[in-house]
Amino acid sequence: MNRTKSWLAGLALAGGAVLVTALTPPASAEVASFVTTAAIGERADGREMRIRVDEVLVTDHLVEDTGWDTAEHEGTWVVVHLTADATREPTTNWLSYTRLDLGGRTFSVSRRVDAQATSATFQPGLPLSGSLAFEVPEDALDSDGAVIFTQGDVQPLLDSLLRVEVDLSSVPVRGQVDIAPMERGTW
Amino acid sequence: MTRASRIGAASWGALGVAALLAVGSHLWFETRPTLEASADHVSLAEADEGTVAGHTLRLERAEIDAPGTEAPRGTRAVSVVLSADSTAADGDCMPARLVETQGQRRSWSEQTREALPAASAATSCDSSEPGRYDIHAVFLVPEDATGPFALEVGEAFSPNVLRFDLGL
Repeated sequence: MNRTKSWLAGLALAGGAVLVTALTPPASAEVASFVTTAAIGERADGREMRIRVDEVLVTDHLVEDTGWDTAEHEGTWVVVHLTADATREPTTNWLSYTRLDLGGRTFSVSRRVDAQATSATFQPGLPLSGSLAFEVPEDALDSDGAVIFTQGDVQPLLDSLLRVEVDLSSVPVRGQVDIAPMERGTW
Repeated sequence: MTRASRIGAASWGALGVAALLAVGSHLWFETRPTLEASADHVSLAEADEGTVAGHTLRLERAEIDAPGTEAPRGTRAVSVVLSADSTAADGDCMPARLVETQGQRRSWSEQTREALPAASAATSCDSSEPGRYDIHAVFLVPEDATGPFALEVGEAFSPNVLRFDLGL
């Protein structure tokens, strides 16, 4: 091999090394979540769950019907009406990991409200419809953000993370919103 | 062959043997235990009868949308009746599951109270109920679930599962 060919081979190897380095995903990608983004009314499919946010409402007076009692809650509430089912096997409690991100602040599902979808068992192909309620400070309503659904962990490693974008600045505050336990729904 | 080429050939041979040893030891010590750990612990009930956690279970009948069941719109009710023979010394069972044995291979947990509101029978084997008794489990499945279906009853704290082919 003459001198010119040696230089070309060396440059090709160096160029290849630069390319491989540029294309290598960051270390965080080894454990990152698989994010699926959907809009309100669209279904997002995850590994073990499928979900559609049907409506996002804001109210300062939440009325819940637990099936055996009713309760009223004053405050600033963001209510998410949704439909969900499992993909392959029954799964329970996964909606309790749901968070509402608003302007960089994160809110979990309220524990003051019983008639929520957090303890439902979802079966494959049998969608249920119900609600989640988030209590937020009033100044958070000016923000846009997202409802984030995960299973097993708030930041799942190498697993599904479903994200539904919401813009609360365009949602009017209702005088009252009613929620009830989950019931059978349809896709 | 010169001495240098003999050394070269021997080096390549040693490298090949070392590579085979590395691959072989990885397969034997890393891959094989993982595969064995995930091996199927499902035993198939022969002649519709089997044992799980000490309980003897026998498949009596299985039917879709049996009289008396109330399948909500868009669903079908798969009813399974087993006869059980248990002693107080038997172990605990997991809740029964209905599985699709082909296609999407989905599974469902029993929803007997929703499909059969007046149900009072056990829905899985129960060592607190020694003697002979019936198990009646109803599963709601979507209309696109066409089977074939099997019923699985697992032993608690164990990978062992007893499976009944339902013939549906």
